Amino acid sequence: MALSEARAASMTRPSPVSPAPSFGALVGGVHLVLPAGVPVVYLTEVAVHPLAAAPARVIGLMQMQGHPVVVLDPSGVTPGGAPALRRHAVLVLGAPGDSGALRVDEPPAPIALGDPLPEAAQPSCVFAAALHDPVADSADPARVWWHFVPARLFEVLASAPQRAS
Amino acid sequence: MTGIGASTSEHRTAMVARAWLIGVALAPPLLVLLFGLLLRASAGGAPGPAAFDLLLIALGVAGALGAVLAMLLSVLFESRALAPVRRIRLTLAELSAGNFDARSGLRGQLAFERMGQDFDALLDDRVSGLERAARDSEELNDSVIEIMQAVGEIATRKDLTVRVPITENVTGAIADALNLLTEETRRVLINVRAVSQNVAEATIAVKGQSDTASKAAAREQREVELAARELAAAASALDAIASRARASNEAAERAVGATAQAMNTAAETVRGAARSRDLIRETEKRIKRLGERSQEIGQVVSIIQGIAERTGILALNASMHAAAAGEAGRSFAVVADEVKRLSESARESTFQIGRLVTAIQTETHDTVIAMNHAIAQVVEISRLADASGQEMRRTQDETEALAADVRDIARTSSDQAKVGVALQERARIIQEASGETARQLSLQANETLRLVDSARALLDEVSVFKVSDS
Repeated sequence: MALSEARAASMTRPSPVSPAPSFGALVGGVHLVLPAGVPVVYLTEVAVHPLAAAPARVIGLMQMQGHPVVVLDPSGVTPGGAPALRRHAVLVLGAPGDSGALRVDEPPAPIALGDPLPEAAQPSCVFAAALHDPVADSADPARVWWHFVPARLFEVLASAPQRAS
Repeated sequence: MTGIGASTSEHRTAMVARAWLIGVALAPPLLVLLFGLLLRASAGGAPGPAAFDLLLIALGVAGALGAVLAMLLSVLFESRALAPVRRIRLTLAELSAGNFDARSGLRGQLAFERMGQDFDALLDDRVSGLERAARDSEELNDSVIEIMQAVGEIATRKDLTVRVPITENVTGAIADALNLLTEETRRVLINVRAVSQNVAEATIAVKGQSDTASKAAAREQREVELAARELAAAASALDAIASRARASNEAAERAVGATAQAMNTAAETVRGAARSRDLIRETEKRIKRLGERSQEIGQVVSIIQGIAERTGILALNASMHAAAAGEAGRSFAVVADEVKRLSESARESTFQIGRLVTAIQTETHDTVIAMNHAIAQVVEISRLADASGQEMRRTQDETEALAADVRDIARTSSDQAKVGVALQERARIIQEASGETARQLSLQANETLRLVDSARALLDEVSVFKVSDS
């Protein structure tokens, strides 16, 4: 599509009025449904300062609106206690001053949830204990979305052992 | 008057003359006497001295006596002198009759007697001389006869070995001279025979040489004729060469002109290539600047893209906030969606711009490469044009040198053609001279043939003479 056409399309497209969608994100290889009523901010290229002697899934601290925010990596890919500052895409959950951040694999996106899948198998991840109420994806039947509670997820991750290498 | 009669007459005449001489001898004293007498009578009868008269008388008497004496002496002398004369006259008469033994027989001391004695002696001498002359004449006749016989034998037998007998008389010298002449003639004839032989041989040799020379002259004439034709052909060829050389010169001059024009074209091509190179370099600079500008555009696009992404993230967050707000955030969700669409549109537009900028940069890069290649091509063209210009310059120089050489060839060929014409004329003259030489040699051959015949005839003629005993 040409630039002029894209611009014209954006200017002439009517604004659809639809109910508030749900948002989901891929975190540590698991599709999570972002909890409703919890402030969520997606940030890219966030400077994460490493913390010495931090837990295994804690990759450092970031700053948001003057408040330090702990950044956790559910996937465990980022080694803890890294000596240098790194930049990551994170998802901040919670109000400022009472929030935590998760390193995400993909940016969050609106999702269309389907029927609940109570029989869905529990994913084999360190934070599986923090997951509940699996829901099908109306667009992709093979995909399963999991609900979670941020404080519980942070707790499980903070207590999770070092991933076996 | 001859003989004794004449002598007697002469004697009488002498006697008369002698008498007159006496008279003449007496005449002066008489004249002196008469002169004295006359001189005295003229003096008037005057008396003179007696001595003088006496002298005159004496002189007259003496004169008369002398005359008488003279007459007497004359008669005496005549009687005594005439006898020997008569004797001599008789002797002479006998001699005239053929008696050569007749003599006067006079003796004495008188003049006529001594004259008679001398006359007798003279007769004796003459008679003996006549006898000796007769003997000499006889011997001379014999010698002449012998000489005549020898000469006749030489003339008859052609024998030059015959010698004339040499005598003691005067013919001995003649015989000796004849022998010498014969010997000399024999020697000359021997030489003549040898010379004739040599002449014959030499003439035969000359005849052979003349024939050879005639053949050589004929061959020379043919060769000269051939040379004349070849010279004519050479002159014609030289004329053709000169004509072609002139045509080549004109072609070379046209080539020089064309080369000069081509050099100008090459130089103009070099200058045009240089201008093209400068223009391409300027265009390359402009395109590079355009590339730099496109990079700047890319940077701006990147910034816009970043803004769009951040706007998208902002829209995402707004949407998530709206969703978290529930019903209260519905209208905000609409704005968030619009912002999201704007951000997506902006991202898509920036993506398109980025692709265009990338395409521009790629094409700019390709264009720069192509222009560098074009510059290299232009530089190569310029170098080739410059090289071709230099080659053309060398070609022009070579062509000019060639034209100069061709002009020289034309001039030389023209000169050579003139020389060829002159040589042709000279060849014609030589041909005529050769023809004349051949004719003269033919005549010489004929003359030589005649000379051979003459030499042989001379040899035959000389061979008639016997010049040796063998």
